[in-house]
Amino acid sequence: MSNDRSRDSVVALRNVSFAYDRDVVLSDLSLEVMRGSLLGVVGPSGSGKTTLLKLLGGGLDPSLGSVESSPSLRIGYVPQVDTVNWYFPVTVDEVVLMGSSAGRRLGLRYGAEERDRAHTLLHDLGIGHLEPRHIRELSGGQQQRVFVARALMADPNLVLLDEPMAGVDVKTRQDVLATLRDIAERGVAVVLTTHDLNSVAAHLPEVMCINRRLIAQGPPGSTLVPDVLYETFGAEMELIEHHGHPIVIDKHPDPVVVPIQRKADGIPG
Amino acid sequence: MEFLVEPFRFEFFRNGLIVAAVAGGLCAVVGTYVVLRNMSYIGHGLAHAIFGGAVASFLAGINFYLGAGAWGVASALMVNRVARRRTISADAAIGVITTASFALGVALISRARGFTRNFEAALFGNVLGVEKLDVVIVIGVALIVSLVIVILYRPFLFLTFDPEVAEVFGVRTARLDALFALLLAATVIATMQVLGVTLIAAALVIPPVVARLMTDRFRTMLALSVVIGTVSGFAGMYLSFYLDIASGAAIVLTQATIFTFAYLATAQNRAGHKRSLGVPAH
Repeated sequence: MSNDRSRDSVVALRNVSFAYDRDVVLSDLSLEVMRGSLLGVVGPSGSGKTTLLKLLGGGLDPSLGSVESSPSLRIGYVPQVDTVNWYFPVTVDEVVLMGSSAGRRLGLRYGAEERDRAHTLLHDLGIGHLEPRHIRELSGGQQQRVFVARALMADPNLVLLDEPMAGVDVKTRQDVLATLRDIAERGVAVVLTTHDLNSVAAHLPEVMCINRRLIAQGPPGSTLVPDVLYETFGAEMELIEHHGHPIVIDKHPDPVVVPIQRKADGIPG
Repeated sequence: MEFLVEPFRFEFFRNGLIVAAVAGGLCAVVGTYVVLRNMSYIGHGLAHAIFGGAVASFLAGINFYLGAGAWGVASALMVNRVARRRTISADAAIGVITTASFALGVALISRARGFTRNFEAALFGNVLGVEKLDVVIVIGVALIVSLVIVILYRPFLFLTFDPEVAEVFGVRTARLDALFALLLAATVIATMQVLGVTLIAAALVIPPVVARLMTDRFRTMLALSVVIGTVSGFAGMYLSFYLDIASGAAIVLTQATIFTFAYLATAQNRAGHKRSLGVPAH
């Protein structure tokens, strides 16, 4: 490994395996996350995506193998929105300020500098006006951005996001991905898990397919191919190309042609 | 005003009033975290577990705070350890540990004679036995708990809101969990005399629940909870004195009354909020 490469490495998994009791969730997986990278991890439910994020974040220790992280590693984590307790009595600004707690900041009060930073982050993410609101009162996209702001509050060099596109509308999805691209361009490594193959193909430079082990990793154009997708998801899929990006569609075993009705009965066409 | 001053002629009331008001506020502080972490059952179980230690230390002639304290710390750490495991349901495991300890206390009592009155006092709370040492202990524990909560306010908030993510952000969740279990055990031991084993869980839960009905901000909830706990401890003591009922029961009934009023008063707001969200109010 060159010195430049080791300088740019934020965290690396070396032949890592992980098991919950006897259930092996990930087996012999290696991954090096570089500064400024933007990586999407795809795989079916139960394939070990969230476990992979927790191993990268230090929330879990590997059963086998090792995790090597940069001494200056600072992590921002965005959880799946359906794991959040939306009835917890906490407002948008309180959630974002948690990011600067990081277990080190003590005392009852937040400093002016922290408050300014939280305000700036929320403003940059387009939700500055929502600071005093309870988190339950926000739309899905706004809630997602609150947790991105909390992650950024930790001034991270690695941001991990668990299913950030789950349950959000198209506009929000595009906004979230644009935000993540901006973050990566500032040199922060970003790793996200998702089921949305087409968003990965259209927006991310690198994808990793896993199903309890590494199936393939690389640019979406060369990685999201039928064989890899079948091995990852156990389902047959087809690919079409649009503006140079692959689009993944389900392969129907027995195509059914549904005639498009141009004119409904009794309704002028 | 005479009815407010009259009971102060009795030393037991003066001591009891201080202990009840401080105990109410103390339970409310710790209870805020207990409620928000869905740990109400742990509070209830720990109180029962410590009862076993209290009885054992009484029969062995050991100071209550030493005996029950050691028992409480051991129970709290065991409960905390069991609650963090995944393989068996935490509620079930806690139930085994705490009810076994409680049953041990009952078994020891049934072997001893002339213990009935103390048994009732331990279960339902009694201010008659409150001494200077009890006052010092409950104030000391309240000061320590308050100091810890103030210093560790932010990591505790993160841990309570989102324990798994807090760990990734560098919060030392295992240590804080253990510390919180110890604070909870100390609270239960310090308030057992006045509140009683069976009613401590209510004193931990009701003030924060009332506060939660009234605010969407954590900090405000914590402050309101303390006010409700302290005021109900104060008012409950007067009820206990004038109605000649157990202090723990009087305090908890006062809190339950406050809850009823708060629930009815905020029902209108909840219905209005649902209407504004387009959800039919039921």
